[in-house]
Amino acid sequence: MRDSLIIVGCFVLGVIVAVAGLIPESFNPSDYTTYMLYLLLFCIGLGLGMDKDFFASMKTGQLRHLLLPVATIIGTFFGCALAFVVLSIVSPGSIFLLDTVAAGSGFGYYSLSSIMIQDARGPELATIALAANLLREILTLLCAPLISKVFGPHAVVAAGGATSMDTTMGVAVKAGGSSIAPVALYHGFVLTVAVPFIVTLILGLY
Amino acid sequence: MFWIILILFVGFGIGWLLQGKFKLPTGLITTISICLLLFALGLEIGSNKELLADLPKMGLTAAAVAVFGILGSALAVRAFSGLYRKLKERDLRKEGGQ
Repeated sequence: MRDSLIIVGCFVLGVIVAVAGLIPESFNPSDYTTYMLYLLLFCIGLGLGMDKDFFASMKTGQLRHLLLPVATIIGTFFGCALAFVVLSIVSPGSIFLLDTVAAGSGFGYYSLSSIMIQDARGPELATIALAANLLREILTLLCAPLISKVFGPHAVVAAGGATSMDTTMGVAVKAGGSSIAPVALYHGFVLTVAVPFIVTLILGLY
Repeated sequence: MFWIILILFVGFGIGWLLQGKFKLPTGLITTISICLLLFALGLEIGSNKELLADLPKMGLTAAAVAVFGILGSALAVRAFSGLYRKLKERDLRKEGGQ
Protein backbone atom coordinates (compact mmCIF):
# COMPACT_ATOMS: atom_id res chain seq x y z
CA MET A 1 0.00 0.00 0.00
CA ARG A 2 2.88 2.37 0.77
CA ASP A 3 4.36 1.76 -2.70
CA SER A 4 0.97 2.48 -4.24
CA LEU A 5 0.80 5.82 -2.43
CA ILE A 6 4.30 6.79 -3.61
CA ILE A 7 3.41 5.85 -7.19
CA VAL A 8 0.14 7.80 -7.13
CA GLY A 9 2.06 10.68 -5.55
CA CYS A 10 4.40 10.74 -8.56
CA PHE A 11 1.43 10.97 -10.91
CA VAL A 12 -0.18 13.80 -8.92
CA LEU A 13 3.19 15.59 -8.70
CA GLY A 14 3.51 15.38 -12.49
CA VAL A 15 0.07 16.95 -12.94
CA ILE A 16 0.88 19.72 -10.45
CA VAL A 17 4.27 20.49 -12.03
CA ALA A 18 2.67 20.73 -15.48
CA VAL A 19 -0.32 22.81 -14.33
CA ALA A 20 2.07 25.20 -12.56
CA GLY A 21 3.83 25.64 -15.90
CA LEU A 22 7.19 24.41 -14.62
CA ILE A 23 8.10 22.30 -17.67
CA PRO A 24 10.03 23.91 -20.53
CA GLU A 25 8.28 24.15 -23.92
CA SER A 26 10.88 21.96 -25.61
CA PHE A 27 10.26 18.97 -23.31
CA ASN A 28 7.95 16.29 -24.69
CA PRO A 29 7.11 13.67 -22.02
CA SER A 30 5.80 11.03 -24.44
CA ASP A 31 9.24 10.79 -26.08
CA TYR A 32 10.80 9.32 -23.00
CA THR A 33 7.83 7.33 -21.67
CA THR A 34 8.35 4.78 -24.45
CA TYR A 35 11.95 4.13 -23.41
CA MET A 36 10.99 4.02 -19.74
CA LEU A 37 8.28 1.51 -20.62
CA TYR A 38 10.93 -0.73 -22.19
CA LEU A 39 13.08 -0.40 -19.07
CA LEU A 40 10.11 -1.30 -16.88
CA LEU A 41 9.27 -4.39 -18.95
CA PHE A 42 12.88 -5.48 -18.89
CA CYS A 43 12.88 -5.17 -15.08
CA ILE A 44 9.64 -7.12 -14.76
CA GLY A 45 11.02 -9.89 -16.96
CA LEU A 46 14.29 -9.90 -15.05
CA GLY A 47 12.46 -10.10 -11.71
CA LEU A 48 10.32 -13.02 -12.88
CA GLY A 49 13.29 -14.85 -14.39
CA MET A 50 15.32 -14.54 -11.19
CA ASP A 51 12.41 -15.61 -8.98
CA LYS A 52 12.66 -19.29 -8.04
CA ASP A 53 9.11 -19.19 -6.65
CA PHE A 54 7.85 -18.37 -10.13
CA PHE A 55 8.95 -21.73 -11.49
CA ALA A 56 7.75 -23.55 -8.40
CA SER A 57 4.27 -22.02 -8.64
CA MET A 58 4.04 -22.84 -12.35
CA LYS A 59 4.88 -26.49 -11.63
CA THR A 60 2.23 -26.93 -8.95
CA GLY A 61 -0.41 -25.37 -11.19
CA GLN A 62 -2.95 -28.09 -11.83
CA LEU A 63 -5.69 -27.35 -14.33
CA ARG A 64 -8.25 -26.51 -11.67
CA HIS A 65 -6.01 -23.83 -10.18
CA LEU A 66 -6.03 -22.03 -13.52
CA LEU A 67 -9.81 -21.85 -13.32
CA LEU A 68 -9.84 -18.92 -10.87
CA PRO A 69 -7.62 -16.60 -12.97
CA VAL A 70 -9.60 -17.60 -16.06
CA ALA A 71 -12.85 -16.77 -14.26
CA THR A 72 -11.38 -13.39 -13.28
CA ILE A 73 -10.39 -12.62 -16.88
CA ILE A 74 -13.74 -13.66 -18.40
CA GLY A 75 -15.74 -11.97 -15.64
CA THR A 76 -13.77 -8.73 -15.88
CA PHE A 77 -14.30 -8.51 -19.64
CA PHE A 78 -18.00 -9.20 -19.12
CA GLY A 79 -18.09 -6.44 -16.50
CA CYS A 80 -16.24 -4.02 -18.84
CA ALA A 81 -18.83 -4.68 -21.55
CA LEU A 82 -21.55 -3.94 -19.00
CA ALA A 83 -19.74 -0.73 -17.98
CA PHE A 84 -19.74 0.27 -21.66
CA VAL A 85 -23.50 -0.29 -21.88
CA VAL A 86 -24.17 1.75 -18.73
CA LEU A 87 -21.85 4.60 -19.82
CA SER A 88 -23.44 4.62 -23.27
CA ILE A 89 -26.85 5.07 -21.68
CA VAL A 90 -25.62 7.88 -19.39
CA SER A 91 -23.81 9.75 -22.19
CA PRO A 92 -24.23 8.14 -25.63
CA GLY A 93 -21.19 8.00 -27.92
CA SER A 94 -18.73 9.09 -25.23
CA ILE A 95 -16.68 5.89 -25.23
CA PHE A 96 -15.94 2.77 -27.31
CA LEU A 97 -16.44 -0.78 -26.12
CA LEU A 98 -12.72 -1.48 -26.65
CA ASP A 99 -11.85 1.48 -24.43
CA THR A 100 -13.61 0.05 -21.37
CA VAL A 101 -12.20 -3.41 -22.07
CA ALA A 102 -8.66 -1.98 -22.42
CA ALA A 103 -9.07 0.04 -19.21
CA GLY A 104 -10.20 -3.07 -17.34
CA SER A 105 -7.56 -5.37 -18.79
CA GLY A 106 -4.98 -4.31 -16.23
CA PHE A 107 -6.83 -6.34 -13.53
CA GLY A 108 -5.54 -3.92 -10.91
CA TYR A 109 -2.02 -3.84 -12.37
CA TYR A 110 -2.36 -0.10 -12.92
CA SER A 111 1.22 0.91 -13.58
CA LEU A 112 2.02 -1.40 -16.47
CA SER A 113 -1.40 -1.39 -18.13
CA SER A 114 -1.82 2.40 -18.05
CA ILE A 115 1.64 2.97 -19.46
CA MET A 116 1.13 0.46 -22.28
CA ILE A 117 -2.20 2.17 -23.08
CA GLN A 118 -0.52 5.59 -22.94
CA ASP A 119 2.01 4.40 -25.50
CA ALA A 120 -0.66 3.10 -27.88
CA ARG A 121 -3.78 5.21 -27.24
CA GLY A 122 -2.63 8.45 -25.59
CA PRO A 123 -3.03 10.05 -22.16
CA GLU A 124 -6.85 10.18 -21.87
CA LEU A 125 -7.46 6.44 -21.95
CA ALA A 126 -4.26 5.90 -19.97
CA THR A 127 -5.60 8.07 -17.15
CA ILE A 128 -8.93 6.24 -17.21
CA ALA A 129 -7.06 2.93 -17.02
CA LEU A 130 -4.86 4.16 -14.20
CA ALA A 131 -7.85 5.33 -12.15
CA ALA A 132 -9.95 2.24 -12.96
CA ASN A 133 -7.23 -0.18 -11.86
CA LEU A 134 -6.37 1.83 -8.75
CA LEU A 135 -10.05 1.96 -7.83
CA ARG A 136 -10.29 -1.79 -8.34
CA GLU A 137 -7.54 -2.29 -5.76
CA ILE A 138 -8.99 0.25 -3.32
CA LEU A 139 -12.58 -1.03 -3.66
CA THR A 140 -11.40 -4.61 -3.11
CA LEU A 141 -9.57 -3.56 0.05
CA LEU A 142 -12.62 -1.68 1.33
CA CYS A 143 -15.39 -4.06 0.23
CA ALA A 144 -13.69 -7.43 0.83
CA PRO A 145 -16.02 -8.43 3.72
CA LEU A 146 -19.10 -7.56 1.62
CA ILE A 147 -17.80 -9.35 -1.50
CA SER A 148 -16.97 -12.41 0.58
CA LYS A 149 -20.39 -12.43 2.21
CA VAL A 150 -22.27 -12.25 -1.10
CA PHE A 151 -20.01 -14.23 -3.46
CA GLY A 152 -17.67 -16.21 -1.21
CA PRO A 153 -13.99 -15.70 -0.27
CA HIS A 154 -12.63 -16.77 -3.68
CA ALA A 155 -14.49 -13.81 -5.19
CA VAL A 156 -12.31 -11.50 -3.07
CA VAL A 157 -9.25 -13.03 -4.74
CA ALA A 158 -10.88 -12.51 -8.16
CA ALA A 159 -11.85 -8.93 -7.30
CA GLY A 160 -8.26 -8.17 -6.35
CA GLY A 161 -7.09 -9.29 -9.80
CA ALA A 162 -3.32 -9.13 -10.24
CA THR A 163 -3.01 -7.51 -6.80
CA SER A 164 -4.21 -10.69 -5.05
CA MET A 165 -0.54 -11.69 -4.65
CA ASP A 166 0.44 -8.55 -2.76
CA THR A 167 -1.77 -5.66 -1.64
CA THR A 168 -5.14 -7.41 -1.51
CA MET A 169 -3.86 -10.77 -0.24
CA GLY A 170 -4.38 -9.66 3.34
CA VAL A 171 -8.09 -8.99 2.97
CA ALA A 172 -8.57 -12.25 1.03
CA VAL A 173 -6.92 -14.22 3.84
CA LYS A 174 -9.02 -12.35 6.38
CA ALA A 175 -12.16 -13.32 4.47
CA GLY A 176 -11.33 -16.95 3.70
CA GLY A 177 -8.68 -18.09 6.17
CA SER A 178 -5.02 -18.91 5.59
CA SER A 179 -5.83 -21.66 3.07
CA ILE A 180 -6.69 -18.85 0.64
CA ALA A 181 -3.11 -17.51 0.70
CA PRO A 182 -1.56 -19.91 -1.87
CA VAL A 183 -4.66 -19.55 -4.08
CA ALA A 184 -4.36 -15.77 -3.96
CA LEU A 185 -0.62 -15.93 -4.64
CA TYR A 186 -1.01 -18.20 -7.66
CA HIS A 187 -3.97 -16.20 -8.99
CA GLY A 188 -2.08 -12.90 -8.70
CA PHE A 189 0.99 -14.45 -10.28
CA VAL A 190 -0.85 -15.80 -13.33
CA LEU A 191 -2.63 -12.48 -13.90
CA THR A 192 0.51 -10.39 -13.42
CA VAL A 193 2.30 -12.46 -16.05
CA ALA A 194 -0.76 -12.40 -18.32
CA VAL A 195 -1.40 -8.62 -18.18
CA PRO A 196 1.23 -7.51 -20.76
CA PHE A 197 -0.02 -10.17 -23.18
CA ILE A 198 -3.72 -9.41 -22.65
CA VAL A 199 -3.22 -5.63 -22.94
CA THR A 200 -1.17 -6.14 -26.13
CA LEU A 201 -3.93 -8.33 -27.51
CA ILE A 202 -6.71 -5.82 -26.71
CA LEU A 203 -4.73 -2.87 -28.10
CA GLY A 204 -4.11 -4.89 -31.26
CA LEU A 205 -7.88 -5.09 -31.84
CA TYR A 206 -8.24 -1.33 -32.46
CA MET B 1 3.82 -3.83 -29.29
CA PHE B 2 6.13 -6.54 -30.62
CA TRP B 3 9.00 -4.86 -28.77
CA ILE B 4 7.12 -5.03 -25.48
CA ILE B 5 6.86 -8.81 -25.57
CA LEU B 6 10.41 -9.22 -26.90
CA ILE B 7 11.94 -7.05 -24.15
CA LEU B 8 9.91 -8.89 -21.52
CA PHE B 9 11.30 -12.20 -22.77
CA VAL B 10 14.89 -10.92 -23.00
CA GLY B 11 14.65 -9.71 -19.39
CA PHE B 12 13.15 -13.03 -18.34
CA GLY B 13 15.92 -14.98 -20.10
CA ILE B 14 18.70 -12.91 -18.52
CA GLY B 15 17.03 -13.24 -15.12
CA TRP B 16 16.78 -16.99 -15.55
CA LEU B 17 20.49 -17.24 -16.45
CA LEU B 18 21.43 -15.13 -13.43
CA GLN B 19 19.11 -17.02 -11.07
CA GLY B 20 20.83 -17.87 -7.79
CA LYS B 21 24.16 -16.34 -8.97
CA PHE B 22 23.64 -12.89 -7.45
CA LYS B 23 20.89 -10.63 -6.26
CA LEU B 24 19.70 -7.50 -8.04
CA PRO B 25 17.33 -4.97 -6.46
CA THR B 26 14.84 -5.55 -9.31
CA GLY B 27 11.90 -4.57 -7.11
CA LEU B 28 13.47 -1.19 -6.37
CA ILE B 29 14.48 -0.54 -10.02
CA THR B 30 10.95 -1.46 -11.10
CA THR B 31 9.37 0.90 -8.55
CA ILE B 32 11.66 3.75 -9.65
CA SER B 33 10.87 3.26 -13.33
CA ILE B 34 7.13 3.12 -12.54
CA CYS B 35 7.43 6.38 -10.57
CA LEU B 36 9.25 8.12 -13.44
CA LEU B 37 6.68 6.85 -15.92
CA LEU B 38 3.69 7.99 -13.90
CA PHE B 39 5.35 11.34 -13.32
CA ALA B 40 5.59 11.67 -17.12
CA LEU B 41 1.96 10.64 -17.51
CA GLY B 42 1.03 13.32 -14.96
CA LEU B 43 3.07 15.92 -16.89
CA GLU B 44 1.28 15.03 -20.09
CA ILE B 45 -2.18 15.33 -18.55
CA GLY B 46 -1.31 18.46 -16.62
CA SER B 47 -0.04 20.22 -19.74
CA ASN B 48 -3.20 19.38 -21.72
CA LYS B 49 -6.08 21.71 -20.77
CA GLU B 50 -8.73 19.70 -22.62
CA LEU B 51 -7.75 16.55 -20.71
CA LEU B 52 -7.84 18.40 -17.39
CA ALA B 53 -11.39 19.57 -18.14
CA ASP B 54 -12.33 15.97 -18.91
CA LEU B 55 -11.11 14.62 -15.56
CA PRO B 56 -14.60 14.28 -13.95
CA LYS B 57 -15.89 12.38 -17.01
CA MET B 58 -12.80 10.14 -16.96
CA GLY B 59 -13.41 9.49 -13.27
CA LEU B 60 -16.95 8.31 -13.97
CA THR B 61 -15.71 5.95 -16.70
CA ALA B 62 -12.98 4.61 -14.43
CA ALA B 63 -15.44 4.03 -11.58
CA ALA B 64 -17.81 2.14 -13.89
CA VAL B 65 -14.98 -0.07 -15.19
CA ALA B 66 -13.74 -0.80 -11.66
CA VAL B 67 -17.14 -1.58 -10.13
CA PHE B 68 -18.40 -3.71 -13.01
CA GLY B 69 -15.01 -5.40 -13.36
CA ILE B 70 -15.18 -6.51 -9.72
CA LEU B 71 -18.84 -7.57 -9.97
CA GLY B 72 -18.22 -9.46 -13.22
CA SER B 73 -15.25 -11.39 -11.86
CA ALA B 74 -17.06 -12.19 -8.60
CA LEU B 75 -20.04 -13.51 -10.56
CA ALA B 76 -17.74 -15.55 -12.83
CA VAL B 77 -16.19 -17.19 -9.77
CA ARG B 78 -19.67 -18.24 -8.65
CA ALA B 79 -20.45 -19.53 -12.13
CA PHE B 80 -17.21 -21.55 -12.28
CA SER B 81 -17.43 -23.01 -8.77
CA GLY B 82 -19.31 -26.13 -9.87
CA LEU B 83 -16.70 -26.93 -12.52
CA TYR B 84 -13.94 -26.29 -9.98
CA ARG B 85 -15.46 -28.76 -7.54
CA LYS B 86 -15.71 -31.43 -10.26
CA LEU B 87 -12.07 -30.95 -11.29
CA LYS B 88 -10.98 -31.06 -7.64
CA GLU B 89 -12.80 -34.36 -7.06
CA ARG B 90 -11.20 -35.80 -10.20
CA ASP B 91 -7.72 -34.63 -9.12
CA LEU B 92 -8.18 -36.04 -5.62
CA ARG B 93 -9.36 -39.39 -7.03
CA LYS B 94 -6.30 -39.49 -9.29
CA GLU B 95 -3.99 -38.76 -6.36
CA GLY B 96 -5.78 -41.38 -4.26
CA GLY B 97 -5.35 -43.99 -6.99
CA GLN B 98 -1.60 -43.57 -7.20
